[in-house]
Amino acid sequence: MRIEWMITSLLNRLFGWGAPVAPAQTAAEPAAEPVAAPGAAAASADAVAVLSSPQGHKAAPAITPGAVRIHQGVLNTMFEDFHRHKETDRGDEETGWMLLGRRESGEVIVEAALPPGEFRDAGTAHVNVNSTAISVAMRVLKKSHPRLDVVGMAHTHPGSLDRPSEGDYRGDIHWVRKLPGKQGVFAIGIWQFDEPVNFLEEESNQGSGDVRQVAAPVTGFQDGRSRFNWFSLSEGDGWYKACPMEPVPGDDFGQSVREHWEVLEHFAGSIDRLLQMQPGMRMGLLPISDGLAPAMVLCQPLARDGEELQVVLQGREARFFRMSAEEIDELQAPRERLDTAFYEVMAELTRGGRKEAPAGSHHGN
Amino acid sequence: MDFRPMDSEERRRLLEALRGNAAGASSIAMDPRTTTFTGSGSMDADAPRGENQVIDAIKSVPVHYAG
Repeated sequence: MRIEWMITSLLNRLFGWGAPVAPAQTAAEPAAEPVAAPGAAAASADAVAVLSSPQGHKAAPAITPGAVRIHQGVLNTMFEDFHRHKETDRGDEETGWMLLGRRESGEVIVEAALPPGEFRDAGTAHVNVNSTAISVAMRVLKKSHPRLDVVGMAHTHPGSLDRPSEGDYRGDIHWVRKLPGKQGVFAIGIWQFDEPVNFLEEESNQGSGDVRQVAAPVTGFQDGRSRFNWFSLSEGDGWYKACPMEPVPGDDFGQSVREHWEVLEHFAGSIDRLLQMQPGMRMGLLPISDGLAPAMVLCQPLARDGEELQVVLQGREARFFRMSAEEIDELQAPRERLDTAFYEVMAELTRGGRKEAPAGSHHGN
Repeated sequence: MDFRPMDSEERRRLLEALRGNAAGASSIAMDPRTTTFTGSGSMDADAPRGENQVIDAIKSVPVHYAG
């Protein structure tokens, strides 16, 4: 594992880091375990079937046939994120999570929820997640969870609209074609202490037929302050269906990238472009170390056997190193956007005592 | 490498495989060493999708609205 030795050696030299520490795989202690409470159904516009406490499934998980399973860690993440979001100065905006998981024999299991990102576009009535950052995070996660795929989307609504809106449907019905099985799992979160919001479109649709009705009881999870109702939508559906959910023991697989989210999102645009243009490039998260900001590394093999260019990203800084078995050289890089700086450094590395004639066309007479 | 033209039977099988793949009903099998067409198979709904498909789905996520 020469590359691991290189990274460890590099970290030791640069920062005096000790032995690598594996990123934590479990969520922080939740503020409150999501539980079901009697009376939730009465608060919902649709009938809400509130499951027994998710905590109760830890001891003896019983899988409901046809239910979408969701890791308990993912539920915890969503409730914790929602609580934190409400306490920020953007707490009145919508927020959301990309739901990742896998489909097996027609059944879906939700294994991770990725955040919308600081650079999301959101307001009181919409949210557009930072899909570039999420795609980079997904590439990282696929290394340890190769079957991970996109299975749906969760987002919040202000007020009491605890089901998808017409606007949600117009986008989701096209998007589900790109999901495995052409089916998606969707959740709507509401803050239970918010004042009801009078949506004009909502009012105007009250008498417009059955299109907004969800036939079966809706599965909802709540923790006393917030609630998530769950739906499914398949290609060709006229409206969302109720989605039976079954919490099962398991971590949120997205935790490792969450700890590196700030640096990942800051450089996501450049990383995304570089990974598309440099098929041999590898990307990894560096171990968390006390007192230092999380870091990640991009590794680009060079022409000489055993050599590679490594770019260490930490905070808002990128440092370039030429690595070989014998030595580590830090390279000067221009203060440019990451991908531009990368190609400047690569161009510099190719200069040397070559005997080839200069390339390029000659336009002389 | 053998660059001979396909015979009529090979051409028929390839066209059928391409049409089936375009309709989303079958996969196209290929010899990884020679990239030669080797037949078609049924789509395995449980098979992990390629990374590009997954990334495309992520980047296509729509805006979600409250109204």
